[in-house]
Amino acid sequence: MATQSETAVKVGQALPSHVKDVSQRRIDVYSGVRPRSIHSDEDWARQKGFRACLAQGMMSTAYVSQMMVELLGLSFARGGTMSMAFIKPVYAGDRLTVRGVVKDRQRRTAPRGSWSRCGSRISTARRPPSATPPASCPDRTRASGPVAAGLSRRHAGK
Amino acid sequence: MAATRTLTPFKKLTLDALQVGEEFVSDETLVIPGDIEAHSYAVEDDHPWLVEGLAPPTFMANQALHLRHSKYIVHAGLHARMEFNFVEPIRVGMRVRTRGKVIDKYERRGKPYMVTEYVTEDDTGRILVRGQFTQMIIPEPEAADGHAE
Repeated sequence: MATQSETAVKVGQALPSHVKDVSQRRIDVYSGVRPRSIHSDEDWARQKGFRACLAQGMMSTAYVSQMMVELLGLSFARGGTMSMAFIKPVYAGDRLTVRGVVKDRQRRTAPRGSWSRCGSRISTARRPPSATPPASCPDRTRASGPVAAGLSRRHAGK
Repeated sequence: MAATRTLTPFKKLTLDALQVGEEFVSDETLVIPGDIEAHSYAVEDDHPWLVEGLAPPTFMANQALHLRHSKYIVHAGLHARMEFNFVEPIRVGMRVRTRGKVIDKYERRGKPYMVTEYVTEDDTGRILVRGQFTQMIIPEPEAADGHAE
């Protein structure tokens, strides 16, 4: 399995960042379309207090995994780990920026080999212009800011 | 005469109904190219997974996430935390299944949470992914911070 050499990874190095336009169509493909779903039924989502349909949190984990594969190669799928904390909902129409930085490298004795630990953050880059929440709707995501944060790592022992 | 089968009783998911130690198992899923293409489209991942005969590491995450739906009627859920340990790559053509167990439940700031550990494996029992996720059980009339399932 191809692997980018981890010897080239430096602490402080930025991971390849991405901009994601989270459209309703992509949410539908990811989650499926069902009535009474906060992902695909906008009326239902509003009834539940959200200003629009929500993206599944799993989509955010996929974004971080994608960054790690680009940095470290496919062997992230063999020995990689991810720890994610979810901060705010992601709505249909949001544009996200996905960023990460190498926070640490550690060399350990075999069989663990060396580890690269990366911090990542997903933030809303803008608010969709059409998403004006009703006054009665609790909206905790009006300001741009982080929606998820995580730590990922992979060892090079194999 | 057909044998009598026990049908799965579904309960409404509440903190009281949930039992720590309760186990779940998913149906088996065949990893097919079309589903990988759909996943890649949904998350805008242009890596040539199919050329390599592989699936993205988080490809089967929804199978783990939906474990509790096999026994409960889940009104809605929000993610709080999620851990993944990718052990072996998921390959096209594999048949995979996820098993899970409720390892904790608690209330924090008046909100109910459940913690599930899970393992995803192929049909030979080889472990592909293991992990743990913490989900908030949304009381029916409200929503809160976090990520939806």
